[in-house]
Amino acid sequence: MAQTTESPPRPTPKAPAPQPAPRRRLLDVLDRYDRYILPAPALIVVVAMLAFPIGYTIYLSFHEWSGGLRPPEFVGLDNLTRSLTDGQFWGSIWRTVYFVTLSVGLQVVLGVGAALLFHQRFPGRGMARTLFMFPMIATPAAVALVWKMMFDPTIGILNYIVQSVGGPTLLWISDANLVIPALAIVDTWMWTPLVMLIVLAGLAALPQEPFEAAKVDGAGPIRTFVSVTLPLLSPVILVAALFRLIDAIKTFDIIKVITDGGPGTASETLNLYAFKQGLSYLHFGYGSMLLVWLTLLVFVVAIVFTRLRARTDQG
Amino acid sequence: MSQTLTPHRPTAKPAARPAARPRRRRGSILGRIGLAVALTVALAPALFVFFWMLTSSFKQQVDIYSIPPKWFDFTPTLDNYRDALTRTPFGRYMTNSLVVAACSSLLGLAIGVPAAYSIARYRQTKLSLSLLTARLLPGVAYLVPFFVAFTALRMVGTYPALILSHVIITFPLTVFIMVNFFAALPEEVYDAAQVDGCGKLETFWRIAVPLTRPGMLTAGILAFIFSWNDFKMALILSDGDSRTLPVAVFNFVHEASLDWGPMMAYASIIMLPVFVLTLAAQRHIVTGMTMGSVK
Repeated sequence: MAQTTESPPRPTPKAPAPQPAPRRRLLDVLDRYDRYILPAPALIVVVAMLAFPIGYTIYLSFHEWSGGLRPPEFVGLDNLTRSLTDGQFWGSIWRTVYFVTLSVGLQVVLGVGAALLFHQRFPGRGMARTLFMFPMIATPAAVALVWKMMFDPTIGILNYIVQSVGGPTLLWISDANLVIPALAIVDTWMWTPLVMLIVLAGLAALPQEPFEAAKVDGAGPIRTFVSVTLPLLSPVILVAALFRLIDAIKTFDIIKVITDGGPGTASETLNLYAFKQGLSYLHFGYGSMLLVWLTLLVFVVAIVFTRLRARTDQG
Repeated sequence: MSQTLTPHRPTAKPAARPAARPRRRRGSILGRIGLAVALTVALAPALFVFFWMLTSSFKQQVDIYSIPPKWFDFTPTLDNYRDALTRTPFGRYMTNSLVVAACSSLLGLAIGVPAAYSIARYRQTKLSLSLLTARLLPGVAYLVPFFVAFTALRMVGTYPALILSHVIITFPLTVFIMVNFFAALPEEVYDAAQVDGCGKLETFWRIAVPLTRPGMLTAGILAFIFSWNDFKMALILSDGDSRTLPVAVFNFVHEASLDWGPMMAYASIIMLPVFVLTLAAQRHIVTGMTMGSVK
């Protein structure tokens, strides 16, 4: 390689320099296509590991198959009609919406608050930010176990804390009405830091003039926040919410480890239901249909939010 | 969303002054106390869970079950760790996790860095959008095809199956982080390389790559962490001795339910490498996560 840098000015296409080093020439050819060569491995991975599997999932959703030697049997739209009349499917959608609304709502409010806090300058700020980020970096399956222990109705520390401030004895994850809020608490604990980080980046990029103007106008901190900070930040907050919405719909690890959908099916979200149908009961066809639904749900949310964002950007 | 993907060119504006929030009054004692209280409230839940995990991992069964809880007044024991390490082939699982996370993050870098460079340099929005789709798709949606394909290829339970499946986690992450690093390189760097007679691929390899080494470190560490943390791919694509630690600890729950002490020991050991890496690369990680605005 070293010799190539010392070589004379590069030959122009029309008048090739006499006897260019063969290596140089090959490199020239490759150079012409560099914008295709560089991303080529990535594109191969995307096609092989993403496009193909998704295509296959869609293909399977029109079939009935439990694996094994017999090939998938084409059943047309049977899986689709089955899902439309499947009470457990609709239940799982409702639980997904409930879980996602609750957890993302909490995360956005707390995350914006935390971002304002960590935006202040104080000694040890970097370290404090890192510590605050620990929940989102910690291994979810292991963290879920710790929460499972803390949720335990008799020995769990959470009930001790609730009771010591005069609260009732809660069954947490064993109570069908409490299990989704309990899981939303875990999700909020884990992912508020991500909202904080995104909003923090947004805060750092804000122009200073509106704040100075607000100061001149004599606006107090709350007034400044509501009329200046919040409107300026709203595009960033929407991005954070979008990221969290998409991932919350897909939440798997903590639900699988903490409740596995239980008690009964009280915390069985669409993701978990599809996983069970497809990979626990090996109903590949119906499971795939549910996964298509899940993918559609994610895309609808993404599109709606992107539109919303486009509007706030203009406004 | 596109904002996070299209390269941010450094703006012409002078570097932002340290943002002075109008609320803050320097030296106000009340303000300082308020800040301290707010910080405590914010950090307590984040840290309490880990505190409880760690202390429980050193407690004897009696102390774990004791009500009121024993915060500090217990005799520490290493029994849980001994139990966790000997009851299962722990060394084996640890090796699996290390090999899979290391290989898949290196592979993620090898694939993602050139793609990110290309996106940043040639503004290939369509390419970055197709990669964004990779981030949108629910992981479970490609688990069924993976499972079917890897079963047919008799690869379930092998390293290649796990490593390949984890590349889906590591490589989009690498791309999103690296696009910003490449975009932040001033145009003059490329011009200078060209004047020196550097070819395009050479410019990438000999100029852009060395200049963005911190970015690659960030991307590599984050990729390692997310591969290490993965549960669902490993749950489906590993079996028996090829399990990674998160799956091993999950199976441990089934084998020894309510044996909280050893489980907390297990959980603590799994998280240790992640925390060490995070603390070691503290600043880089915050930048990396914020720049990509992607987890």
